[in-house]
Amino acid sequence: MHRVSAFPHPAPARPPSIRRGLRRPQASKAFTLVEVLTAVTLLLVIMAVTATVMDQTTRAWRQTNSKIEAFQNARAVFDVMTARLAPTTLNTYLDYYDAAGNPFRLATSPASFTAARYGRYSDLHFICGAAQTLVNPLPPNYSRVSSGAVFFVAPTGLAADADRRGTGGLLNASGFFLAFGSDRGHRPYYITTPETYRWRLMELSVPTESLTVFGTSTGNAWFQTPVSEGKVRPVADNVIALVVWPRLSPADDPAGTALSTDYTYNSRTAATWSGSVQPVQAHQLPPTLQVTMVVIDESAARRLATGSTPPPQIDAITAGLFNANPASGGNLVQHYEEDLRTLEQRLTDSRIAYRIFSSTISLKEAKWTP
Amino acid sequence: MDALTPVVCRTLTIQFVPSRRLRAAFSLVELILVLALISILVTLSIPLMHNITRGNSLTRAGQTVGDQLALARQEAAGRNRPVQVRFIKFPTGATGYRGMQLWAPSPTNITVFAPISRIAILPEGVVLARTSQLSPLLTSASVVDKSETFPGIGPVTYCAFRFRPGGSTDLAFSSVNNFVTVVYAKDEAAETPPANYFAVQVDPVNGRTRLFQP
Repeated sequence: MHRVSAFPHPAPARPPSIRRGLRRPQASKAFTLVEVLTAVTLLLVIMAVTATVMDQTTRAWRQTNSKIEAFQNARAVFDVMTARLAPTTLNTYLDYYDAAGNPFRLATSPASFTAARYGRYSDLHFICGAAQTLVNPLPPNYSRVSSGAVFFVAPTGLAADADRRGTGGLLNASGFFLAFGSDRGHRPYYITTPETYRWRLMELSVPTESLTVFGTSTGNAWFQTPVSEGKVRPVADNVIALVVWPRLSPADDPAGTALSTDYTYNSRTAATWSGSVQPVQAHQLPPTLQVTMVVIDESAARRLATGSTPPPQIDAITAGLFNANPASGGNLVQHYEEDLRTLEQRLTDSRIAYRIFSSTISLKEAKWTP
Repeated sequence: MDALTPVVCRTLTIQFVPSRRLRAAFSLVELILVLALISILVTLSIPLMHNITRGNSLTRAGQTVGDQLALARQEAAGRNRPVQVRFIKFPTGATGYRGMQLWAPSPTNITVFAPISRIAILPEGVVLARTSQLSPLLTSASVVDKSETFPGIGPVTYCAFRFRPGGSTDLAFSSVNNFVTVVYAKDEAAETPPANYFAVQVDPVNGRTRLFQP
């Protein structure tokens, strides 16, 4: 009661409406530390999520980009390869042949040589066929070859000596084939990133000073020796098929079987001949080459990679097609279209992005006589 | 009661508002705490951001070099003409190779070379290493440290090699010694690869460009 007297006006309870009206706006006028921290945390979470999304987008973009670049390089390489093949030469000339079919050029005793007829002869060589047969021994750092291969002599003008570099008309031994192996021999010496094992399109490039095709009239040592010495360089990665099909122009030879039925061609075939007509492949170039190259993308190759051994899945995809496996008979040129469709089907089924490059090159130096 | 309310309210307002304001707003200590937190975070992220930016510009520089080489090869193969790739010490008087430009024989006089592209300049703070260990392509190129006045740039020193028609080059035959290394400006004269670099290799026979990063 005493207290009551101290307060002449007992504090009246404020009407609820006014209390609310007073408290609310005042409470939300500023944030507490907890609120600010929560907001900042939320912001951080949102930023982290955004960063993740950005990161994924960038990665996807980079992947697409690398895919485009890979095929761009393949396209450029295909152009380089066709440009290399186009000026292939054999420099075929007519020589005397004796009755046994031996050319005067190789006669051991020219004085006693009795000419019986004329025939073509060339000191150079053009050969294509299965890589397993031709690329033997293998180049260093490469453990396997597959698919087709072609070796030829062309005036590329590559010389080891700087003073001769760029001289037109210098002959070089060249060739293309597919090999599986490491890139360690072809990178800047200080690169320490893990070596990559891939199927690659390899180019043989022998400087003009080391051209030995004139050394012997038989055999393949002129390209097999430099290949085994490692005078090869990778041109494109992830090439899984290379088909070189020597044929006449499509108008003359719709089936493409007139020159070769199994993708093999050897201008030094049958050094001697007895019939009235020289074998078609002897000492002359095929008028056209149909070159097909199948490339898969790097991300698929990375997915399939099995270290230093060739990925079995790629073997399965190319098995039995074209002249991939001569041991099991290979496949003849008449099945080309069918083989290509099978290959595409297998690649699609394995969800591998791929490109097929195909072009018919006419060899300018071919002076075809049936 | 009705007559009394306004008076009470005013009284209450006068009595309570200061304390309430203190509770609802930041105190100086809180503000300082938040600012301190923010500044710690910013301080921590600056070097990181700096590294990212530097790494980015190195990558960009490497890609620029690769693109220029690919363009030169394409030009040589596609148009069937020689294309000279010049690595320029940019700007005038600088010691580091920071510019690239493609030159080709002029259509009217094939003995005279003229630029066929704009000069591509590497980002600030990034150059091509100039030692034979890291950039053998520069030191063994067919033109080494020649001085010439470039249109729009002025007198500069440059190294150059050529793509021949068809896409091969006039570089030495070996496929392992034909590369340049993009490094930070401070590593310009380094003889061993620094922590971060970008190597660009050109195959002398088929002109293929390959990029390597640690």
